[in-house]
Amino acid sequence: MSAATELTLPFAGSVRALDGLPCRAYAAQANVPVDFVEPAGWLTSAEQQSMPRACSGERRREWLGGRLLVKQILLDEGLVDDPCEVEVMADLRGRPSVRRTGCASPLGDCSITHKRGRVAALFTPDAHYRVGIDLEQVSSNFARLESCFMNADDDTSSPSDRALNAAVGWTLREGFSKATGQAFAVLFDGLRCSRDGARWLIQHPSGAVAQGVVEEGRGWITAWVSIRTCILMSMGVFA
Amino acid sequence: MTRTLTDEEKKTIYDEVRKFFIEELEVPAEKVTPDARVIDDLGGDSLMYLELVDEFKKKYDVVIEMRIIGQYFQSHPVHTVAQIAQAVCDIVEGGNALIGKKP
Repeated sequence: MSAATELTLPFAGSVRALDGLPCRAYAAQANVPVDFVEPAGWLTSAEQQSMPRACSGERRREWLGGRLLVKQILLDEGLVDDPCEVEVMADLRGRPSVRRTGCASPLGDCSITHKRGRVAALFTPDAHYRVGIDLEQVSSNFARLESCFMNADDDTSSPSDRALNAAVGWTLREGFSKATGQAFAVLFDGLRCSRDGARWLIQHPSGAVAQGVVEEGRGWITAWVSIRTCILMSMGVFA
Repeated sequence: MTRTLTDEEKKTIYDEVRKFFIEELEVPAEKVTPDARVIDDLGGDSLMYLELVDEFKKKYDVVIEMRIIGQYFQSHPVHTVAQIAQAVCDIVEGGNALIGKKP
């Protein structure tokens, strides 16, 4: 019996292959229960030490949940046998980077998001792509601030529902900012979102284009985004 | 058009920024220190930054394009309460001339 099958998976059954992105990608989402306890043997000592200093309560559960989801994807897809074979650590841009413990080169690219006890993770083993993900609960805040980030040329997801439309526009932009590692500065940058069938295209003024998939349900929006690493060069972002 | 804030006005902005985070994030006031990291330590998010900037733009009647603010944040990453308060002061002082003012 391998080490993986001896472990109790904290979010069993949550991993799936994600359709709609140009790269091979795996997604996972879960609600982190209030009484969630970190399972033994899932985080390395370096990961435990990297937890933000004031991280407690819901924030701690979300922080842990995101990292465990990434590891669960890798276990489910057979890329590792033991959660501690890999480490999910922040890189210089603050993006999560997943590497075999003790190795310098990344195993692929991943992104993590969390909101109000819900966490989601996206992983691609394709070295030609970066991925980004955002998860939001639809609220009137997005519509109230839409003039700050929406583009007049944006396609709409739901013309009759302004809050939903603005929330979709925001999550796609957040997914883009996470994929590119540009943090929130890029959200002010005049991104344009357009539809291409079931996919979304997120276009940066530099001409760089990312592709995204949006899922919605029960008042939540999740945007899964990918961009080719070579395109990041055109934005002045080095892969 | 640019303006110059007095030290007292800058202090007022810092206090207002701090109050914004205390109320929006519903965290104890003692946790919102100058070097508290808004996202990592206080549980904030990007939308909150946007909301804060929008609020102060209106409050101080600042004329500035959002893309100028984006360019500013590219060269001045902000993580802490003190950094975001300084960014708000720069935005209020610089307006559309922000980038020329803060190379």
